[in-house]
Amino acid sequence: MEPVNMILFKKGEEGEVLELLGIQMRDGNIIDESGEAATCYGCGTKMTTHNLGNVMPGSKLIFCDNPACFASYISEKKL
Amino acid sequence: MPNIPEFLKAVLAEMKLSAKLNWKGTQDSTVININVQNFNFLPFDPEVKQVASKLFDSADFGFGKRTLAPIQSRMASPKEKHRAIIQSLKPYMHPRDLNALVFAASIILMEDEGRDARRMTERLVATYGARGKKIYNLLRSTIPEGRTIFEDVICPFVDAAKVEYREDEAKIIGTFQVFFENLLNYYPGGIWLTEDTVFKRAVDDVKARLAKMSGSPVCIYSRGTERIEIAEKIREELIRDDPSLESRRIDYTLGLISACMIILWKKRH
Repeated sequence: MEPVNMILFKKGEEGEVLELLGIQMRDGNIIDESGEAATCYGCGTKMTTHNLGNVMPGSKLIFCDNPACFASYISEKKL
Repeated sequence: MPNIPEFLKAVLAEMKLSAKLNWKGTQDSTVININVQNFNFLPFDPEVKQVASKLFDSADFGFGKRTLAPIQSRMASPKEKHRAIIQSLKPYMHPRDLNALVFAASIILMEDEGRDARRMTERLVATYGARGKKIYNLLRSTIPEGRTIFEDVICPFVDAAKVEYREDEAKIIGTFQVFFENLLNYYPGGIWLTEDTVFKRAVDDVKARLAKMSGSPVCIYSRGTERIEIAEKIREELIRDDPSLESRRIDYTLGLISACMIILWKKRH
């Protein structure tokens, strides 16, 4: 498996991370590049600053904070 | 040491961030070491913040919530045995089942390290329902000699299907998925004792399964001395109620803990 490189943020720093990445917010929801409400790549739930788990490298794939959703990335992309 | 790609070493050296790798932090007063070969972590501190967007754009760094990092490290580092199972089934298994399998493997890894995986187990059930729990049970419960049903039954089935249908990928996938569905449907034949198991309900559960399985065996799986004793009491109660039942006990070890499987079946007349 190729190594995954991550910068770890703490609770409360989500807004700063999104700003750095140039990801827009609207009414508490994260907005994707097409202007629609962004959804978790794993479970499809609407993404907010509260449930943000990961923004994966190279792709801006966003995951919520349910570890099961990260499992989808691991099984699909890595293992 | 983490397996750091050469290009990344150069970028990190240029940004004077190399020393920050191999994150060691505290969380709820517990020291957590994250030093998994599959992950390179940096803290989101002022120094990193200055170059974070550059790291994301040019050096393939993502962002992750710190509290999730230990769990995700485990997901990315399943045991070799589990990794081999996941890899061999990946082309044929339904993606959602495959995700549940990866999740189950990380729970098992945590349990075998003696860590509390109850919250993870709750998340597994909340996300994948009873099907997720069954997949966990299939991976967790071993048949004699410490091998799992995945190793002895499921993976060999895929190998056989590959030989039978050779180039016909769609046929292999279809055949495998029907087989896996049947196996999951068969699995109600087993119950797994947990610390929340209520004795009377477990007895009733096994009775119901014995009636439903019409002659096929039903298993009671237990792990740890206390639960093994409960499993024995369930067996005694069931045989007292129905002396026509036959049974057999197989002892083995799961992780470092003793475990047993009690098989019950109705005598055929």
